[in-house]
Amino acid sequence: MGSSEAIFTIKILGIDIPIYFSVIAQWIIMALIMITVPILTKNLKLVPTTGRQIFVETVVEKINSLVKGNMGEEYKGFAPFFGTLIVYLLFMNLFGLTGFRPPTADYSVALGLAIISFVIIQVNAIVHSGILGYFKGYAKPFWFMIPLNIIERLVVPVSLSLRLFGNITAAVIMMELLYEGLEFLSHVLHFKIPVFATFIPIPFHIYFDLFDGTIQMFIFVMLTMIFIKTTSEH
Amino acid sequence: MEINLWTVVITIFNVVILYIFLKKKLFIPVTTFMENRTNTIENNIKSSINKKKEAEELKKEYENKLKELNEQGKRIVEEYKNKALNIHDEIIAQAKKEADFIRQKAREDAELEMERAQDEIKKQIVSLALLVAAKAIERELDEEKHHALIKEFINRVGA
Repeated sequence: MGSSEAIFTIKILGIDIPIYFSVIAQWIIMALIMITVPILTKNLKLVPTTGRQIFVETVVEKINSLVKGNMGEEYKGFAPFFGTLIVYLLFMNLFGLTGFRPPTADYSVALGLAIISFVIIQVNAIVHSGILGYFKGYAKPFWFMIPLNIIERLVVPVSLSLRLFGNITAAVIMMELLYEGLEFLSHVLHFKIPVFATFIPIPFHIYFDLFDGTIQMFIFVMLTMIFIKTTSEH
Repeated sequence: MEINLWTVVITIFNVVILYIFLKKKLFIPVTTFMENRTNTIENNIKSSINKKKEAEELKKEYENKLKELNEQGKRIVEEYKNKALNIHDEIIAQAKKEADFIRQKAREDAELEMERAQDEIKKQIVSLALLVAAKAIERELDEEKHHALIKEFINRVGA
């Protein structure tokens, strides 16, 4: 992890809380979302005429139908949660486009997100089948599968967070290598301006930031959906 | 790759806040808004279908009524036509009768007149004949007696 120095610390109740860049980036993204959303949802009309309203309705409708289509009608209450994950992860993964390090390239952030998924998976399973049914679920289909089942459940957040972190970090490293290589090339060829670094990285940004970021967001959300559904039905 | 516990905690905290915010400000209002719109449109469609049905029923009813009225009108016209024809026939028949009566009367009158004229002529002829006879025989005739005689003669001739 390259930039792992705390930028500053906040003292709350006598505890020093170190704030890293990945947290500041999250706050920037949150501020952006919280400022944009009220503007987007301002005075909705029965017949949508503005592109703003059509955009908002399309996004919400797509998220609702994604949740309903993948999990079923009874899970539609999860739509806001998955919508939040989709929007937040998308912004965080695409944060690399600003030139800064995306927050999800910090394993702590990825782990935090995966822990939320893990908690929701387990809580939903308990709510769905009751405390007893939940613990009985570990002994299925045979009692001697208990250790395996426990590992299976505990491994979910680990695999979720490592997958997200690994992919985004790999993309960041690839882009850094590319920029350094192009700069080195400019330097070797005695160009005063790093001309290679102006246009060549664009397709790589499209692949590593846009494509990879979107795909990783989608995989994270889809896996969480599948785990919530399968774990509750054990 | 060290894990900063505080970053993990803050991330979870951030997601929870963002979840609450987006749920309150984006998902619930927009979803309920769209559901309301769906309901409104469905209701509108349903009510318009009902109204269409109603209108069609009314149209059928009015068409039937119109047909009935048309027929009634035709019937009334026919009735009056028949009545008028009857009256027309009656009037003609009466007129004919009257004409016949008048003609009959006229004929009778004419006959009567002719008889009377004939009588007059007979009378005249009788007196003329008497006069002629008197002149011829140059003497008085027994007027009464001969009068009857001549009359009888004339009658026989006339018959």
